Amino acid sequence: MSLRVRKPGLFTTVQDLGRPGLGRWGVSPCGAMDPLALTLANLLVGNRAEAAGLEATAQGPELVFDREATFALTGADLSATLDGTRIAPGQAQRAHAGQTLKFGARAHGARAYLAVAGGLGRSARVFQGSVATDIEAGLGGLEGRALRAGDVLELEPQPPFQARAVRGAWARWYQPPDVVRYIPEPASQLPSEARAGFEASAFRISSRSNRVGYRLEGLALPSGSAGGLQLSEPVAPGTIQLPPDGHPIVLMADRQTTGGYPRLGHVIRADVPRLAQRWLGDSVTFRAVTLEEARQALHEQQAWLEEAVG
Amino acid sequence: MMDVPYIQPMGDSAFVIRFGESISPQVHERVVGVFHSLESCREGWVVDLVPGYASVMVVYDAARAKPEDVRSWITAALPHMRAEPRNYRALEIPVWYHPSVGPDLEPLARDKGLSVEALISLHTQPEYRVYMLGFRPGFPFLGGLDPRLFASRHSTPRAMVPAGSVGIGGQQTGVYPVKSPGGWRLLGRTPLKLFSPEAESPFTLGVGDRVRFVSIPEAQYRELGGEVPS
Repeated sequence: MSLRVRKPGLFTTVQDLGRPGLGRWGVSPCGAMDPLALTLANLLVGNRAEAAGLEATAQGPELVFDREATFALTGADLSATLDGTRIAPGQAQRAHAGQTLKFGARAHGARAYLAVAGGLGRSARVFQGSVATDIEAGLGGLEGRALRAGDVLELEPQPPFQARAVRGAWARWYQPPDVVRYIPEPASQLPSEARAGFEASAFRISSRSNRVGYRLEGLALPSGSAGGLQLSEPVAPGTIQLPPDGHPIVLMADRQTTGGYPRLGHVIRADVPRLAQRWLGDSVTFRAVTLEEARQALHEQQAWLEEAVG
Repeated sequence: MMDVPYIQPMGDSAFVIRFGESISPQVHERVVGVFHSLESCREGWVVDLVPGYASVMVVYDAARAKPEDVRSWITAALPHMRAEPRNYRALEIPVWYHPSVGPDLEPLARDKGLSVEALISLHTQPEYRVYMLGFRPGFPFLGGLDPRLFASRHSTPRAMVPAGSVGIGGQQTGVYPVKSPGGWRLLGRTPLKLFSPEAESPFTLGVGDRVRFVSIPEAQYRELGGEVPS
């Protein structure tokens, strides 16, 4: 039982919820850029939230099922079709033996997630309990790399098909798409104009962005004299750094574990999925919130997620 | 140096505990002490504990713990800060110092007005401390470098530095455990593996360990399994 890769797409990797907890060893967490979308896809096919799926970037792959299987798509809408029939994201689907899953034009979002019942981790390397692909270090996934034509992903035995769909509007967690909430750094060494400029700017996501970080293009912010001379210290999820050139970088799933640039703040966890679905060239602005607001937002999202699939 | 560590949230999923802004063995002993103290009373919602030069980061699951609970947990653990464990590992890292595997060896010696032999001798003299691991799995940031060898990174990093390369970046020295891009000045290469993903214990060095470099000739480097560029 397998899923054959006929075309790999732009950049398709095996991802689960990553391997956080290894920061002391210099190991990046990796895992799905949009963990909410991967979790939903897994729940739709009856998997645990942390099962492995595929993350397709902007331009999806072409995959052939050699047996009947249950699958689901979430995240970006990349105009998926199964043997030519449009596939709606957000519900369990049945593929028959020999059917081809193809992706087309990017309608919205950046990353689509494919989950198959039983998970897609069987052919992937496990490192420290996770099969998440770490491209930078060459760990997990298929030989630590993105999919190639000819790759084969072994499937688990398929349970009988069960119709499941996401209840209600999951799009709410991605709205408004271009506003991302963040918590400013309380004791930043940066000049106060840096923060003011950061919040007043509409940035564009640079074409040099990737799973390690999103580089933001816009007016250069004043980075003061602190730039680059700070002691390297551990970086947190969503850390927004300001290098001496004045163009912020938001650290994403494949971030290194430490960094020496001064920080503007941190993207709140509830909005990481939203930012992960912004694509190169898209605009984004940042709105400061308190720790309490961030907590509220995450709790709402988590509570929704518990009831989301049925 | 601050006497009372400074605890600060980093976004909604982490706290940082800072012990000052300097690199010193004394500050780092406190870092390692607090790191072990937190580790020994770890809660289920702790996602990661990451020691740095002068700080420890606590990453927590914000869906399961409130920030005030995390802060209280940290505050409660601080007075029980343990002395740095004495059972750190002291490791000798054999290095073949040679231009063919250390392209910056000769230019750096020239810059510093040293003979290659004198440079090697300065680099093999100290016992270094592993201040932190970062950049790539198992990459040790080693402190204790002789100030005569401080050297800025290349302004344009090399696209590919082979695994095992030993280099200098600013006031630190270190070893590339896996091949990667890199801007450090390369002096030589070790046949020793610092990262073996398939092994049960994949990491050779941990934070707080001590390292000494030992100069070895090419023959021994080859014997120990070192690769020689063709």
